Amino acid sequence: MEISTNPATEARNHIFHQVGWLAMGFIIIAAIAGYFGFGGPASKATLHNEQFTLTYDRFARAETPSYLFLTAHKNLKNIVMLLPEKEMRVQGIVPEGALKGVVNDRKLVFELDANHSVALKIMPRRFGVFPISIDADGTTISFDSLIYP
Amino acid sequence: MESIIRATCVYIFLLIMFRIAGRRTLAETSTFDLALLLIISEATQNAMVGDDDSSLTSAFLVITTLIFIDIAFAWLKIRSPKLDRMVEDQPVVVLTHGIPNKTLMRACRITESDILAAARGQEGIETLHQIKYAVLEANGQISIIPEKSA
Repeated sequence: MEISTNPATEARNHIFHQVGWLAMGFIIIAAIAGYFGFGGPASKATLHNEQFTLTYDRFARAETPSYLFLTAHKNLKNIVMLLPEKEMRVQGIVPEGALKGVVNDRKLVFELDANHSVALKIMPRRFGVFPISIDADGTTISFDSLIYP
Repeated sequence: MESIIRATCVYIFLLIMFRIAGRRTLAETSTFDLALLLIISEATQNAMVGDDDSSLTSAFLVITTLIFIDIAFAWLKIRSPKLDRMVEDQPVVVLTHGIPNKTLMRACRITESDILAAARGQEGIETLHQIKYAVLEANGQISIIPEKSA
């Protein structure tokens, strides 16, 4: 039986496979940790100030819902949230009564009583890094959300 | 994380189901087996990806997880014969010197026709008496060793 073999190529292939298996292992560990979004400890982040606490998805996926929770520490009359207009669409707000107004699908204005929360279901439409900022009675928090394809 | 958990659960569930179903299940793909395979893949797709997540990232993670678990299982099976026996079926001799072992054949859900079909395909054999051994392999295929080779 004649089979053409090339030990050097075989050795290279073996190394290539092993590196690939290692990379797959790292990807899975990163995904379990939440670095690719949709669950996992690293996928969510929490920001606080004296006015409110904000929990959001640090990593999200395009065309997959992402959630943002805002809890007021005191009565807040004017919470202004700025979203990237074309890249993110708000699909739901609970409770709806917290929303006072929307300007150009981009600027959302809320009112919250102390120790009350509002939850937003946001649908990222494209991948990339997009800034979101929230201003509550003069105090601003800004953060970036990484959207995977 | 959810994609990884879903893919792992589906892999383990399918492994258990096919282990229960036995080696002959889907071993030779008939038209109905192909349809069954497509139905199973359609059902598992929703379970793995979920309703909400249609992203490319999710699909890549599911594929990576399934392939990685498969590699890990293969690696573990080489190192642990006990695990190999748990996960994989062992070869079974279902016919010796032309005499079929009916009990084993019934247990493995194969018929004399299946053995003869394999014998005709592999060795051009026409009768059971021309077969020295028929072995049902771990992958569900039937290997034929003809009498003349003894």
